[in-house]
Amino acid sequence: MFDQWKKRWEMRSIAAISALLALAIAGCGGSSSNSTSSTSSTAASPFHPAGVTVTPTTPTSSSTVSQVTWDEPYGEPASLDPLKSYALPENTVLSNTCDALLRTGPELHLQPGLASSYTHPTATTWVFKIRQGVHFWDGQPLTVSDVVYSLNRHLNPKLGTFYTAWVADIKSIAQSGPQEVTLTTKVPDVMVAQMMASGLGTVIEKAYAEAKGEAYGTASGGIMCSGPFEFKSWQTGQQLTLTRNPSYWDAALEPKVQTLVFKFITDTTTLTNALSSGAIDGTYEVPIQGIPQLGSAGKMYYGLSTNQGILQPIQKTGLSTNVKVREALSMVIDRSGIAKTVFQGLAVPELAAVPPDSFSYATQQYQQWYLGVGTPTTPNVTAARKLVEEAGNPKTAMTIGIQQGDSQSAQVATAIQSAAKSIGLDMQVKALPTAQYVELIFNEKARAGIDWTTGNNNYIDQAEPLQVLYYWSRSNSPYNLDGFANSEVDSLFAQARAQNNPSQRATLAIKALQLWVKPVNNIPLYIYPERLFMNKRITGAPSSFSTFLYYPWAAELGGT
Amino acid sequence: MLAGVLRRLLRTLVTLLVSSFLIFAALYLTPGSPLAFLTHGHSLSPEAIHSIEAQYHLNKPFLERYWLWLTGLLHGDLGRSTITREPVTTLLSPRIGVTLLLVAMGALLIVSGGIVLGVLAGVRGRRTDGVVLTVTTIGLAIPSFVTATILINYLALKLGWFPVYGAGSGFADRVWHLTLPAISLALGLVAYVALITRAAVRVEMGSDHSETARSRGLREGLVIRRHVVRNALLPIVTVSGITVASLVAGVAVVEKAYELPGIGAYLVDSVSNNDFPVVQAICLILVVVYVVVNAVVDVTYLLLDPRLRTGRR
Repeated sequence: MFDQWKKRWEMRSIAAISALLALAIAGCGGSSSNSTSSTSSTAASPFHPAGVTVTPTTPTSSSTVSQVTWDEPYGEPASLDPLKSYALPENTVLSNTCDALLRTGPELHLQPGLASSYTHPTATTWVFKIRQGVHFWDGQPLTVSDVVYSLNRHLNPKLGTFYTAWVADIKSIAQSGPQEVTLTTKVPDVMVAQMMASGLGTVIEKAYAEAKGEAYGTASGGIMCSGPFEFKSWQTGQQLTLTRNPSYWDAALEPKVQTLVFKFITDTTTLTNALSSGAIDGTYEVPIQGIPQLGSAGKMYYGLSTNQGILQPIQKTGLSTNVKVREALSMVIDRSGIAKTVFQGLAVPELAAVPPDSFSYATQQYQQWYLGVGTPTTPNVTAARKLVEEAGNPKTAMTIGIQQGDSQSAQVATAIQSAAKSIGLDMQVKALPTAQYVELIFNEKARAGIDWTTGNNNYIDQAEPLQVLYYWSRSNSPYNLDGFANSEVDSLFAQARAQNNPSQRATLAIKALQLWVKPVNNIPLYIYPERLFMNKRITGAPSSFSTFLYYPWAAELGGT
Repeated sequence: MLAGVLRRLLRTLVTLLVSSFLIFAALYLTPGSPLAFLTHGHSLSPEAIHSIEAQYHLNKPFLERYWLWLTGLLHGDLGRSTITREPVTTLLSPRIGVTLLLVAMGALLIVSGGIVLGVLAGVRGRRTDGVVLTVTTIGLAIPSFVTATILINYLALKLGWFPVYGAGSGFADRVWHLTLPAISLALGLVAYVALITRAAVRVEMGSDHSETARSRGLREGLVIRRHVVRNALLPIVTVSGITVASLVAGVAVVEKAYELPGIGAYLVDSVSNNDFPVVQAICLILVVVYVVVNAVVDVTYLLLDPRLRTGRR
């Protein structure tokens, strides 16, 4: 099965090279590049910013280090229970402490984890072969019963998993052989395998979790897993300390860092100061404003990312549902300007609300579609004005809700506001307290009076464009807030998620995506590569977005 | 005297009870549910939502929730954080240590610095007065987060004399970590205490009893110590007391600027996360500290001014 991924990856490389060639011929590829790598390019491209080299890996580390202090720029994890870890702070730690059945490697393709291989014998069954000889930190062997227990916790509604949307389609998870677990889904779904690299596929020790009960995953209750770093202590508000697991099962990922300390600095200025003074050794998601100051302290790396900035309509009624208004707005937003000023050139305009780094298979097919959607990167005021006129020059005000303290989104929202003004639309910007902002997604009352939202949590977990449809276009998805419903899209999506052949799956997905982006739903704004900083002392951490969430990245970390 | 103390105690208790109700009611009326932040916006199964609501009494009527909280409080149970699911007491105790030391260091700087500068300006007059007045006015005008930025940039980043952030571990290390925060915290308030002290000293310098003492041929130093400063102490203590009490509430800005794990910064975070049990506990602690500091100031009055001790209340 893993051969298949490898092949898929090679196909992607070939596809990307031909895409590059096609672009060069079309005259927008900049200087001709004879790079053989699919992901490294300093030339201007529609996918990555000019002058930035995107490398999924960083120079390999050669020596051990006694301590590395790492930051969590989005704050402290709320829990280390895989059930409740479905956000950046939690998964950044969890990926190093608790192994999942599979991993998301540096180039965003799946790798074996606790499952040494898997097969997909029927449309709705997935059989995972569980590795032998793996031990938890306390020396107990990791058994199939631990795997079955851990995965089934998500299916128990009383335990309150955050992966509700995903488990809805899982029928059962059970042992089917001495070292074998079978997962059965209600409908055929190729995305299940990828989710086994997330919290959904993470394995914890049954005996320990049962003994701790509710306290499992809290600062005082701790965790018990098999990952390359052991949970040592967690002083809430201060730091979380991990130590090296000396007997990690994966010889290729033997940790080189003795003690790994996580800090929770969220303030841009403080974090920048801490990084440039060496008080903090490194972080993912480096705040852009701080990058110029980091200069000589270390090095910036840029990785692949399935993150994106979108303007999401969140009302089922009102002006934001008017297709002409949406189209006009999308036409007049200065995407190039936003990328240049707000992101200081570290972002590029997004041309369809599907992050192109997620095109991990059938790359050329997807890229061709993406480039052909026709979203303008600079404002087209005349055409947009005409659309507004056709919509009857509406005077009703619309509101964009952003998270308080998110200065980047505030700048983006202001740019959208002035774009709207240029075509006579009244757009307001409202900063919401964190709790209320988060609530927008699942509480209709919290959405009252807010028509749009933009922020930094519109990433898809894995390099699979189908996830975009899964989250935002399905008529019954909890994340589909504007009530988009198109039975054709639903049916194409159902066919695509059942399709094992990558190229055929892409064909179906593209048809569905085209029907979804055509009336303009999520308005694409910007995409950017992952930003990683490591100071002079350390190197090795992979630099891609999903990788630091779903791969034991710190095991690669070590001295320069 | 005893009756007075009892009355004061009773008044304190009523103050605490009323403020606890106000705090609880204010949070009850806050828009947004703690559930939202708890789940990072992911949807939960109805069963799970129900069990969380039951655990935190979110489904009970307002007065019952207040009663449950109040009775828990009397048993030393401040509830559990909705975000970390840890007991609030466990979460707060290490943070209180940081904030207390910071406030103590800040208070020391404010009281010593403010009184010395104020007396100097009040007694010396002319040029010293002018210099102190200018410096303190500037001090008053600069907000603490600006001082923090300047201090971090020069003393921590450029010169490397102090750490950039955090509270350190162990007493000496902690004092070292908290030095810049304490200075940022104190600077504006030193100016405030100095100005009040200066004014009080000025009044006493020209008062009848000082003039009388001088006319009787007492040395100026003795006049200042016995007659001027001693009498000026009353307003100085009042202002210092109020200033120190306000420090506790105002510490959040400095804690945020230096990323210190204290209760002020935690209050700010918890408010934005709708972590009600933590917000309630910290607000209550702030009220208690305020009330206690005021009581201490009252007692100091009695010690300083014999007139207040006899008969009059």
